[in-house]
Amino acid sequence: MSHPTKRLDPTIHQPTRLGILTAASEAKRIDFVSLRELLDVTDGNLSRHLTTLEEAGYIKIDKTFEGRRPRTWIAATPAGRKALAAEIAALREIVGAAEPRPRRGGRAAAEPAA
Amino acid sequence: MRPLTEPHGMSDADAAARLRYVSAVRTRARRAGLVPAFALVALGTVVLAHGVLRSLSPHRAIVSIAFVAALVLVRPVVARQRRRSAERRGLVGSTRLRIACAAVGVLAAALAIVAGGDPLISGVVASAAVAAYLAGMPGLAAASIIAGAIANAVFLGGIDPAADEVLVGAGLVAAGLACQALERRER
Repeated sequence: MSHPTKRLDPTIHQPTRLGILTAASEAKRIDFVSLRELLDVTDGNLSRHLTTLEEAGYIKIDKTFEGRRPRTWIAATPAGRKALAAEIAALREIVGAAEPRPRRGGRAAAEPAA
Repeated sequence: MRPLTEPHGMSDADAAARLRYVSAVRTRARRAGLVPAFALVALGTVVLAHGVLRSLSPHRAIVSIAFVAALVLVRPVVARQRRRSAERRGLVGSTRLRIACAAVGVLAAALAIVAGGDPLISGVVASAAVAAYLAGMPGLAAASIIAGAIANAVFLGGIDPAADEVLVGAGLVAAGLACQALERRER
């Protein structure tokens, strides 16, 4: 099996994109303004990362109008949810691989495991 | 957090930081979707109303059946209002999480019936506790469970069930309003 760092997905590894996909996965759908406030990012930054995620097929973007006001809704796709789950599993493996392994008798090893 | 564009050089400390970030975003999104403070006020109002109606009527069983029937009837209206409110706020919460909260509530109510406790209080308190826990409010979740346990102990001790429900309902509404006030202050 490959090292967990090899399984990290470069598309969602970037923190803002990871945050977007996490927030979208926890909601049925979320609008642009809420996402911007939740992640504390600028409009331009968020737009750029949304485009990257949409091109990868990880999110679906719907642009609607409420009266004359445009509104952008973001939802995670099944592929996006799967990619997020795989990314989180790989991150957990990296953290787990670095934690000291317990010795026989319950005491943790002094040196970190390779 | 150190922004990395090349994932293959990630250290365990970076990975742990990413996991903490994911957890924080997830909690904030769940809190915005589940709105546990509002849930406490709504569920508390249901318990309070049921308690008041039962205390006013001599036919308590009939009141309970009529109350549940009325809740089922108004549910689509409430669901539509909740959806509109969520769309106005800009975050439509996950159905999966709401179903999880409701399932735990139903299970707790069933267990209360078997154990001789108050099913309405048990179900509502368990649902509220799960919603609060998922929304990253473990203190509120623990307080809900403790309140439910005390209410059931008092119920088994022989207090008038209607009075018990009025007290618990009022307590849940007060806790929900306090949480809303705290959230407004944090903003």
